[in-house]
Amino acid sequence: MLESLITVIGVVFQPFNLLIVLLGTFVGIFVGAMPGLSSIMGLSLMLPLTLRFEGTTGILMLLGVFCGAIYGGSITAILVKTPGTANSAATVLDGYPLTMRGEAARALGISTFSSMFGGLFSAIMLLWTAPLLSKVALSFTSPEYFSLAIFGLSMVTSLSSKNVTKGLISAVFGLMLGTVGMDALTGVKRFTFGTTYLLGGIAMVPVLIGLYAFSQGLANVENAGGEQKHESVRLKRTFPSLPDLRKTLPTMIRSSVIGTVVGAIPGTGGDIASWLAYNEARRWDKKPEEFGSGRIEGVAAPEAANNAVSGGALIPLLTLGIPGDAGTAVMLGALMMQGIVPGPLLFTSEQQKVYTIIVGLFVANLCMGLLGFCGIRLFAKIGDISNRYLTPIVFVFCIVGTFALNNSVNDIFLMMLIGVLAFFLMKLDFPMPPVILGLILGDTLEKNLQRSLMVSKGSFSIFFTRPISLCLLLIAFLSVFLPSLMHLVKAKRAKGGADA
Amino acid sequence: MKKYDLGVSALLIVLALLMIRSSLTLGAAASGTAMGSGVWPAMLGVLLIVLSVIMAAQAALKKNGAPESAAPFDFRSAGMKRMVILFGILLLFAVLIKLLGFYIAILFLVPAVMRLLGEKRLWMNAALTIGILAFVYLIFVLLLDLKLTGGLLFG
Repeated sequence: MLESLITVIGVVFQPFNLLIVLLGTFVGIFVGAMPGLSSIMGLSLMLPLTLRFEGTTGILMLLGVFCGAIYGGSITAILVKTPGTANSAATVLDGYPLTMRGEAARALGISTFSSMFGGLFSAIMLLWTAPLLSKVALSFTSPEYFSLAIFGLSMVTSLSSKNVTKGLISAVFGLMLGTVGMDALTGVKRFTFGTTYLLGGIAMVPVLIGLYAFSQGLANVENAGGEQKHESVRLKRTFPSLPDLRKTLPTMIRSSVIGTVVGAIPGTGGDIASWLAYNEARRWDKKPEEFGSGRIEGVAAPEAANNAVSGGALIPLLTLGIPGDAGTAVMLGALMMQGIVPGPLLFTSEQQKVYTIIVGLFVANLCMGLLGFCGIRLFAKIGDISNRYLTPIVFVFCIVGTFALNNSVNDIFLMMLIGVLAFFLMKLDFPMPPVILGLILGDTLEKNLQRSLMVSKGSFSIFFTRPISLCLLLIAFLSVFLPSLMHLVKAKRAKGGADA
Repeated sequence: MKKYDLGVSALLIVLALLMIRSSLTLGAAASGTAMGSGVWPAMLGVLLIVLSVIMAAQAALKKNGAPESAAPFDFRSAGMKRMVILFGILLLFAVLIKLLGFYIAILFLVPAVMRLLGEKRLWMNAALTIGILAFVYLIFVLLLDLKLTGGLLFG
């Protein structure tokens, strides 16, 4: 392990790779800080570019985008009360009051430091826990993998905030997209409509870009005209003072633990982690009533937690091949396109690649801190960029990025079609992350269902007689139906209370 | 939203039925496999029908007095009018990229979208279009060695 780690450190710290991580982090902070652009959009747009790099350089760039985008969301949350991403919604509560008091630089400094702290903490946790978990997962066979994929899909409930049924329909739609092309096991052409273009299946990149970037561009056009002009804020010192660091250190440690644990649970995510950490920071504080009026602990807690999610979410991703949230679902797709298949075998067959990802995450967090402290004045102006200029740029990047994958104009048309479809589906409250989850996990599900049924001679009991498989299916079942059941029980109780 | 949900449910059921029908033509299990190529898509089709029925039932059972979310489409709004124009622009862009290639299509797309979003200054339109094209050429063509399409005429 140590030998691999040292080799990987040598690779990651090569000047070109460092530059690439820095560039990825810069792009990530940019998309994170820009309301209207999302981290998933940034990842989707950068994905084709990263595929053109050799070796693990592309992955390093994506890690930079991944980390940078989470941090970037806090900048506009603090300065203009508009979180760039949902992860930074809790940061607004105390970050914006600090800005109103003329302490924007102090808030941004603490936010940058705690983001970096949380990210580094979770990278260390990833290095420590992932190999242990992968050893457990080594005993998995096809029934367990099938159940694991079902469990992964069950997280659609948390990705479908408005309507679980619509989330499940989105996931089935993704699974259906995954059936297009030649069946790898039998060689039969499925739903290709006689075209050679669809023989290889529906490519991930056009779907990703269409779902997350192009559709967002369309939404920006529809909502154009509602832009607000913000007052510019003067920033002086951005590195936090020693007393501030001493004051927030316990909050940072506690929130980093919360973020890592929450991140490691599939179906959660940075927004849940940051609210949990914020609540805990308030609960542990001697003056909880002061939270919401500009306490630096109120900035440190959500920021450390949401960045710690990055490492936490990579734990199930790398060891089990199950994405923790929508961002890691895109990362999973990206890794697979780079020829890295996440799962327990990855830790034995491609140890160096695993360590590259872990060390890359560590370096990306360092770069995030560096860029945050040095470039905060620049990033503070990102929110002022008009959608008038940003939207055509997004469209062009969608087009070039999609074309870059296979030099195919048909890919561009597919991306545009998916984007338009996604735009309408989003208006009808259908969430998009389950689509990508279905597309990614569809192949695993079908192959392992086939293999399991072959072993069991066609009996579905194989999934219920193996303890791990049964456990995973039970958890999946509960995570889909428990929220609805709880809702029903609550409604019944409320009705009972009202009647009484 | 209720009528849209009911409409979408009906549409999804039709889609699922078509998928099941196509799946049935894909053949039974070949030797050495547990299920034919059509089994999995057919299972998904059935699942989609079940979920669509649930969605339709949820929409239909919504009480009349229950708080209704705003209608997703307001076809008379300025935003929707912009969308219709945008779809026209995208359609024309698709024709242009196929026939005349990337550069000419982008020369049309960027100023058209900017104009649609309210940017009237000609110099700004020109500057951003040229800036984007220069950036794409520098990064993708020169640095990453990507050959951008010249279309049917210049390809």
